[in-house]
Amino acid sequence: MPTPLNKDVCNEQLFSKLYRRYSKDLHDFIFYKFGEQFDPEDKVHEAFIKLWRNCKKVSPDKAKSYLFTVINNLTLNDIKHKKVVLKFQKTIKTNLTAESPQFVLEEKEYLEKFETALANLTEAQRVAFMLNRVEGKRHKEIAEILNISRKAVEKRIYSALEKLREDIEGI
Amino acid sequence: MKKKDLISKWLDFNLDDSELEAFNKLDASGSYHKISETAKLFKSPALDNEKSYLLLQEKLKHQRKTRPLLQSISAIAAILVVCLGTLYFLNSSTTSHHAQNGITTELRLPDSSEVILNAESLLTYDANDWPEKRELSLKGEAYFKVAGGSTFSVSTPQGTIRVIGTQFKVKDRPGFFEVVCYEGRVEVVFNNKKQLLAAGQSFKSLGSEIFAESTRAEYPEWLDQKTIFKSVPFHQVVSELERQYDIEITGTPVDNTTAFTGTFSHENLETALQAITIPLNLSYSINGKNVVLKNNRQ
Repeated sequence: MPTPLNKDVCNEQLFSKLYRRYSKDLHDFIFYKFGEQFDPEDKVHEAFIKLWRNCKKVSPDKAKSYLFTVINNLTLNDIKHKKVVLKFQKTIKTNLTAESPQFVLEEKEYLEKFETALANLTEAQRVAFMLNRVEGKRHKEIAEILNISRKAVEKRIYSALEKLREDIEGI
Repeated sequence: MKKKDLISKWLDFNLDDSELEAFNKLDASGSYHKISETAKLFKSPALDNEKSYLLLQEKLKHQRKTRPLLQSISAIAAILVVCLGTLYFLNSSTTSHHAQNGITTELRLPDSSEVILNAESLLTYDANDWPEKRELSLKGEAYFKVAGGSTFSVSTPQGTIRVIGTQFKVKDRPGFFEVVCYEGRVEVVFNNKKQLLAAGQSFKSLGSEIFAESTRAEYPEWLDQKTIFKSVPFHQVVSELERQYDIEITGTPVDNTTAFTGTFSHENLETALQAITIPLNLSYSINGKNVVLKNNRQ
């Protein structure tokens, strides 16, 4: 935990520590919630710039929730003025084994369905699900990041999984 | 164990060997594994923490300091101040602070009173007389948090404000004079008339008319990166936008009597322009530092 020696975050060392601790989670949070077109890294910077400007008003233990609230609002503000298009970054599969054309086609179809299904999840479901499946975070860690109960996280991830399966397999 | 609990435990990376076996026997387990694997293809791009932090520091520097060109000018200015200061040391030492367009500047006075200057504002005072005579002169707009002590007075081209220990802001722009008291009491002298403002009251003059208004704010809205207007002539709104974004706005699409009520943000020029143009059915085009306003009905 941050040292209680600091009553606010107007300390460059503490500030950089906060950056190292939270930038990735903030970045992933925005990326999984809204997609990449809102430039998550830029949003992370904006949030920290705002924190620095208001550093006197923020105590170290409030910094995390301050950052998450600010970054969420900043992005929502942006969205108001842009059309939301969800398109997730695809990592190109470098699979060199010979695959039958049918298999390739099926895989492609699956991926397309997956992308649509992922975009159709609620933002809350998607963030929790992706932090869990992709970033390998456990329920408790996600609960801390999102500031909600562990039970709520479990529910979001489980419902996301079921919703994806339904949408993809057309059950 | 219930199927749902088993799945949730799998999702929490928390199955022991026998449970994992049970999970893998579920009809849908293949689908779950595949979904989980496919999700990884949508991983967020890696964030290089160190590089990203350096970039942030660059951005912060830009925010806090004046631009390079201005830095060299201020260096020359500083040398001049030192020279003049040595020459006239016994006479006086006038200190001045200037906030450029698009920048707000925070400063502390010798008695630890705080001042925040809004964009394009100039504050001067004589540090030698401090703290016996707390007198400042201001051109532009500023927010004051005055430490207790002797009378603290701020003169602007249009009026004078006198207080003892309180919080208030002054905005003195051509054709516009406003004082808002956030805490304590403030005395405003305007056109040789005295007026007392209590916390939450404000005084505004637009040329000849004078308005008394009340506010619930605890500090000026521009500390939150926005400007609020209440029935203010549109050209005043345009001038404020020019100061905040360091741009030049041309075109006079509406006459000088058109009033505007609303808010614009200091963080995004497009958003700000939309906020002021849409209500009046205007359109804008941005070309570098120049913005042209047009009336859609013309």
